[in-house]
Amino acid sequence: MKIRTRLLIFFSGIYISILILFGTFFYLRIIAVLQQNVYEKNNEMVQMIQKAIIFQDLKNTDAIKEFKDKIPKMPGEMATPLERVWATFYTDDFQYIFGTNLAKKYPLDTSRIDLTKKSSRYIFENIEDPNFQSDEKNRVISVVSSMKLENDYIKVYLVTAIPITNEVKNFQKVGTTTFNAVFFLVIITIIAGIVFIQYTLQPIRKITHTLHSISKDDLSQRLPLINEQDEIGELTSSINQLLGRLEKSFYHERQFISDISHELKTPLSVMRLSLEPALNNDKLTDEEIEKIGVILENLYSMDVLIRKLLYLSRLEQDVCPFHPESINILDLIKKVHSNLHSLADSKGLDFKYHVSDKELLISGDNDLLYMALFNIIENSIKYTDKGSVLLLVESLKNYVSISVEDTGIGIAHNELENIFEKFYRIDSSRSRKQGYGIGLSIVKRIILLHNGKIEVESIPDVKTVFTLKLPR
Amino acid sequence: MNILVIEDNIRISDNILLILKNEGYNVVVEEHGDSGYKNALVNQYDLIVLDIMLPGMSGYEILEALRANQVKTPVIVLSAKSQVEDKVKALDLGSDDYLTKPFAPTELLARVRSVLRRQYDVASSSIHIGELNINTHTKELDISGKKIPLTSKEYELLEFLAYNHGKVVSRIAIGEHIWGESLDLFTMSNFIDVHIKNLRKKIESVANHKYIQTKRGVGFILKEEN
Repeated sequence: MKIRTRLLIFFSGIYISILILFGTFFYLRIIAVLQQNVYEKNNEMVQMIQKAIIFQDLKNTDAIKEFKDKIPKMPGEMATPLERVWATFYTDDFQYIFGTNLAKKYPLDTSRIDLTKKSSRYIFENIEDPNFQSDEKNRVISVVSSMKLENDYIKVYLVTAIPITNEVKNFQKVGTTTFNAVFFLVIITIIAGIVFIQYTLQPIRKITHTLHSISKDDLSQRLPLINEQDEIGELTSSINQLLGRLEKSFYHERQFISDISHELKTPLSVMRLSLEPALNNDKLTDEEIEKIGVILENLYSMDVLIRKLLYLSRLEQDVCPFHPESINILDLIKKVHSNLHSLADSKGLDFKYHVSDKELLISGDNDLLYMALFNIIENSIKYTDKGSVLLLVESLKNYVSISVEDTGIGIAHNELENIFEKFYRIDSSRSRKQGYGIGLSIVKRIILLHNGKIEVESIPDVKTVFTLKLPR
Repeated sequence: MNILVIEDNIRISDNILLILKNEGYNVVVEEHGDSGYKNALVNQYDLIVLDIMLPGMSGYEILEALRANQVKTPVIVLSAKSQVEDKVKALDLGSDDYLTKPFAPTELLARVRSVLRRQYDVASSSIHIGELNINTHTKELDISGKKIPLTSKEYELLEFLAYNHGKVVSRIAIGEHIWGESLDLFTMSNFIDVHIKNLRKKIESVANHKYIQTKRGVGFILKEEN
């Protein structure tokens, strides 16, 4: 998982947890307050009723029916307090004794409520009464309290209903608002978090991008140092130092190879220059001149070897100029064929090519690919004494396949994987064939540079097939 | 013929490359003074075209250093500087010719031919050997007035042998001069043999004498057979 995702999840998680905790606390508090409120209202009502009927002195339940008259109207009010409350008296076994007007108007459905419970929720349906607050669905949500009242003579249940419709409505409103706010805040936090993290980690992405281009182009580039003090700045410094060391070591290695090849080529060059005039020396016999010719040819071969080594090492270090362009494979094949067919003819070999499409384009370096093809085919011709060398070019979905099949001496199965190694030459009878074992290494490197693949199959003394796959 | 061009301006070097390649020369381009110098020192070229204003070693420094190292390859200096002092300095340091930029392609080619003739001690752009008349300017062969069509490689081979008229030219010298890139001996021998065979056929079908002699185990000589 990416670091920024982890950071985001972690901090968002903390924030959300805090919000949830807070929200829950808030919620519970409100409920508590609400309950307290109801409790107090209820108490007030009960006290009022008890006082009105002077419960202490009641000797029978009939007297209860008279108490409504005992409460005076408050000045300025239309109804007595009793007319505004919902209260019912029940006997010990829940027989109805007496109820206030409201209670009479809207009795309880005892099947829906358990009156033995001290307090429960109850919803009255279809209420439209200014004294009994209902919601838009004409329901009154109430807390019904059932209290046992006892004196020396009677035992009754006083059941009161305190409407909490408004409170519930408000509570819901508050709840929805809070929830919306929390939700909104969470979204904003997450977005802000993402933006901020993105911004903070931006330098890392810049570094990654720059590093990517550095390894492909040249090692002299350095990462820009923005803030030396922070962690990213330290990382950048370290990477720059590393790049410096790499550059130096690459430079040294390149110098080494170039110096070595220079050291080797100079004496070779001197030898050749000194010997060549001897070819025209009249004082030498033909035999001696022939021997000098052989020496010169060997010197030349060494020269070629060193040049190929230098070339291969430059390819391996990605120092060779690579100029990609759109290349028509057919043109390349034609060129190689026209340049090498005399070589095949001289050995009496049949050299043909077949291309599946006239227009097969790939992206690559023309000179390098020519070199690769030339080397492979030259190799095949060299190791084939009779028969043919066939080039087959096919266009497949994602790549172009070029196969070179010869009827030559082949390669033993256990040596197949080694033939691309530098200097590997299959031993014994082949040693007279020249090639120094670098050609195939060069081919492989060139193909790899083009993001392609090279494979070989062979049956000794029958045939060998090299297959080059180049992406389109 | 192998020509080394040391020039950092890609447009100019591409231009020169094209001009010279069209004439059948093998051209190598170096863009940096240091690598150009190294290349000139280590490899054999028939001619070096050298710019003066270069990154790294300047053309003057390269010239001086090459001559100090006994590299006798002819050098044509190519420069935008056209003052007398610049020309004098370049010539005195060891260059064989001086050409100012911008230059006409034909002039470059003529100077290249001229320098090469001097290198091979050939008097003029026409070489006469027996019935053979080789015009190095038009790149044509005619035998006693009859024009013989030759492929470009065949002509170059003949011309190279003609420049070394009467001397044994080794196969590897031929291979390096005509094909430039480092060919394996095996492949190179084959290429040379094929072209020599064709040349001989073309010449002998018209001429009264043979001209290309084989020096066994070594190479060939161009001279009139007696």
